[in-house]
Amino acid sequence: MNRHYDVVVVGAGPAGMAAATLCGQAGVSTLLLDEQPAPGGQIYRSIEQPGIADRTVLGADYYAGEPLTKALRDAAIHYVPSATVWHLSAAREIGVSIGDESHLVAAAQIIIATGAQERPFPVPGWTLPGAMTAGAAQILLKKSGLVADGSVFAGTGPLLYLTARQYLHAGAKIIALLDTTPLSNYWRALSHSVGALSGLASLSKGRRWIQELRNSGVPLINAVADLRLLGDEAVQSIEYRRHGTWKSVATRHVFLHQGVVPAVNLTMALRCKHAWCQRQVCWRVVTDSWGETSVAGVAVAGDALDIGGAVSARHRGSIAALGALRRLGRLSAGDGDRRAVSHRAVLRAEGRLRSFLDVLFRPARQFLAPTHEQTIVCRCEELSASRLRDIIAVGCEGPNQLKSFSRCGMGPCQGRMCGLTVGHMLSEQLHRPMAEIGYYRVRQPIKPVSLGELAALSAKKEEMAAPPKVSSL
Amino acid sequence: MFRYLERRSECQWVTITIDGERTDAYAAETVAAAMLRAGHISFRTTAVTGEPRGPYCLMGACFDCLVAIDDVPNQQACMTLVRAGMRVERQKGTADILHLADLKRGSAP
Amino acid sequence: MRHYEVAVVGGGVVGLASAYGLAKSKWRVAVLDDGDVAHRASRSSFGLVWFQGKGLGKQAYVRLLALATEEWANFATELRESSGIDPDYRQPGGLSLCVGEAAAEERKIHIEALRRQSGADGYDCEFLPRRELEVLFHPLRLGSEVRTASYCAADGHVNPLHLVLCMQKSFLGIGGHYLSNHAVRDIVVVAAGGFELSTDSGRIGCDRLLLAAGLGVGELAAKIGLNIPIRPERGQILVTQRTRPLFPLPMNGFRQTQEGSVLFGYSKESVGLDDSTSTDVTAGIASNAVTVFPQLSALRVVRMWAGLRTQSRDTYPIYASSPACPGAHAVICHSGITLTAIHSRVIPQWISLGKMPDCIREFGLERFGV
Repeated sequence: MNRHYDVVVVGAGPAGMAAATLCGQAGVSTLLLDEQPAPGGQIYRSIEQPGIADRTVLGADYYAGEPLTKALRDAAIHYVPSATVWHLSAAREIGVSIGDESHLVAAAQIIIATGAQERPFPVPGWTLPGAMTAGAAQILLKKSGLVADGSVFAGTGPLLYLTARQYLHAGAKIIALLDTTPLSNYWRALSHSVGALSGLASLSKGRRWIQELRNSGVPLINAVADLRLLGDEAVQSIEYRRHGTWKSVATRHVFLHQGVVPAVNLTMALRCKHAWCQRQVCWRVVTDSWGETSVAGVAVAGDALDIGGAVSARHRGSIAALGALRRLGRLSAGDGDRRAVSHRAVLRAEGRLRSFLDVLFRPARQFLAPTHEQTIVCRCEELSASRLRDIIAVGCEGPNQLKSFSRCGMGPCQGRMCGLTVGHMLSEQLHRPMAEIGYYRVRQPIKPVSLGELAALSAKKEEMAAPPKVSSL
Repeated sequence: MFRYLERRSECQWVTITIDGERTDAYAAETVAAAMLRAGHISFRTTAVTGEPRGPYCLMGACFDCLVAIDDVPNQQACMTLVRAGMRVERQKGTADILHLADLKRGSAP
Repeated sequence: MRHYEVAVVGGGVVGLASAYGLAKSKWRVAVLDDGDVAHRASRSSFGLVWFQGKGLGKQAYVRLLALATEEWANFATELRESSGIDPDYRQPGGLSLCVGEAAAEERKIHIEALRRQSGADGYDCEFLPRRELEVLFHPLRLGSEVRTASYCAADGHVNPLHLVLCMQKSFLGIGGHYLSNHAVRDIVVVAAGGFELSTDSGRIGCDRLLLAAGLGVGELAAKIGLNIPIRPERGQILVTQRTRPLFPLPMNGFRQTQEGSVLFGYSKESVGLDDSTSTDVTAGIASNAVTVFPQLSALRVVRMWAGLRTQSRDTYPIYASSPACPGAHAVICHSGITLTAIHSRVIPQWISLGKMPDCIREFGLERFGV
């Protein structure tokens, strides 16, 4: 690994792979860093060595990632797996940890393709062992070929149904699927159906999944308005409220999901400009049409920029790469525009269905800001909704004051599991829109890094400014 | 309980210990997957209230799957691949680091 | 337009301590604070309540610190009882570790000079030999380069974030008014007396005014006829994941919180208003940390941040009353945490009597010749 590259791509999912491959093909020095041991991100996790030989389980969409990894392996780039980026500066210096050793790399252009994370799903008992995300179920399936029998899927969103379908094809017993999609969403989504017609194929696919589940005898319970998980040392049952009545389902495995949101910690730590997206109910980094953020030379692609799925991600990655090449002067403006045309056309087509899905699967308010007082909001610091509401009442203006008063957001996950929830709670309690509430001031390191590794970096830096004055008061 | 869908004969097995108990795991597996398959749904107890926690996201974002690996605490089980002879211990409360060896100047621990 | 007897501009430890003290004496007080994202040095503090080593060249500061550290314990109890939240103040004494022979020598000379300066006041600070330190820290091992440490029984530490919360809650509990999103942009002297403040959320009237807005004081003070030269000084801090109790005492640059996180610090940099962290400094702090405590290399840093201290030309606090605008006062300091207890007593006295209490009299603007 060199100390300097023309382009550094962070994240080897579809966006990152497409971006790195295109840059490599253009002949610029390219480094691809990813924290997993193999490429694919989440959607194509472990695709070079899936945990299952039977290709009918995961579905055709999964294997669409194979050409991407093949192209990546053939590309003339440096690809470093198991590399955790913990630092990124506006001067485009990257701090990355590889096997207990940290390195600093400088880049002329950076493309952040760190993908999405699951939206927090704060319900009573969601911290109990046995409760996981639908994404977690997929990861275990894709990488290790592991399934749990007797599971309950709960929540909303395409990934929930997809994972349940994969479980079905894997022969794993599903006890029930509890659907929290508000019924009113179906009416609202109809007004977006004009756009959805052009994505009819995708829509039909979704309906086929649901039909498969029904046909296989899995109880699909819709209009679920409330959830709670119960158990002493682990999940023993899940209760749901539907049309005013509570029912209980005994289970040891609950897979929760209510959509994915862009993983913003890296761009937030970099102080890039972000905007609240009301349609997707999440924070998004603001970029130009090439994916460049408010920090020069730093672009974002894929789900980290806008939740759009694997196909959109790949094309966004290509557009970001073309943008980087333009800014490097390796591609003329005209050539860049020309080459981007086909990618932008795909994005437009994908975008039409996306609006429809965003409206249909928008989580209900009670699952965004928890109503039950004892629900843990900050998992790391074990802070309940009631505790946080009490502190907000002392005079908190926003998430950062709340963080400093309560410690929410100060744990190792650095706000990933609580940032959005806390925002929704403040918005409700202070009667202000999310755009005004804001988000945590996210700090470096973006992932925890050991003191020893940091210390060793100090010894490594040959050119330093005057030694830091670490002094007494 | 998590179970394997298929027997993967082409994969190597390695032996690790979980809380002192010997367990077999696929060579390229994550510690989290190995622990789940061995029947552990709870990986640790928390620092503040001593509540049990297990893996939640399995993608390195939630930091709930923290275990001690070869005496080093606070390792994300979902982000670490198993190695032959690896000693995994479920964490109780706050991590302890006093027993660890010193950093040798200029090299990684 | 809302009107108060005293408006305190700035909701950090200085502003809140002052406002709390005033509210206790039954003044109708409002704290005008900025929004959620503001510099807020009080949120970036290391948390030491520190006496030793400071004030060489100004005995008045040594005396102020002596008072400050004496009054802290009672103040902490008072806050805990009135707010129901513990600020986690502990006064077990503190250490300043000396790494290397040159640093040890330098520290000895420094403390000796303070002892001479203090004369009859005395200066309670002793040096502990290495073997005593080893016993004190056992089982935590000290790096071989640690020679000695100066120990002072008056030193301690507090949770600075809890401190702000405690004071805010206590202040509200005794009838204080806390107005956030009320950053002050302009001050107008009212002919009939008092002041009118233009804030981000409308105008506020007051009889008396205290500017305690940290880095914001410079610009605001000009509006009440005071020239207060201040500069930002950046300090970077590392925070680790929680671990079991390690340190017997807080130290200069090393501290463990009640929850178990360990803090390492700090730098002193002149970089304007840049509050981002930099790898050269943070790596340097980490390197220092593992030199002193080699066993800590496996501790994972979960957060680094930089705070901007409000620094005066000679590093000492400034308490200034405006001759042009009677009833308007300003205060800046960078040791706001250490001075909290005494601020809650002395600043209200100053504002209400219009007379500078003895212990802060030598910290006016006259010393700069302005």
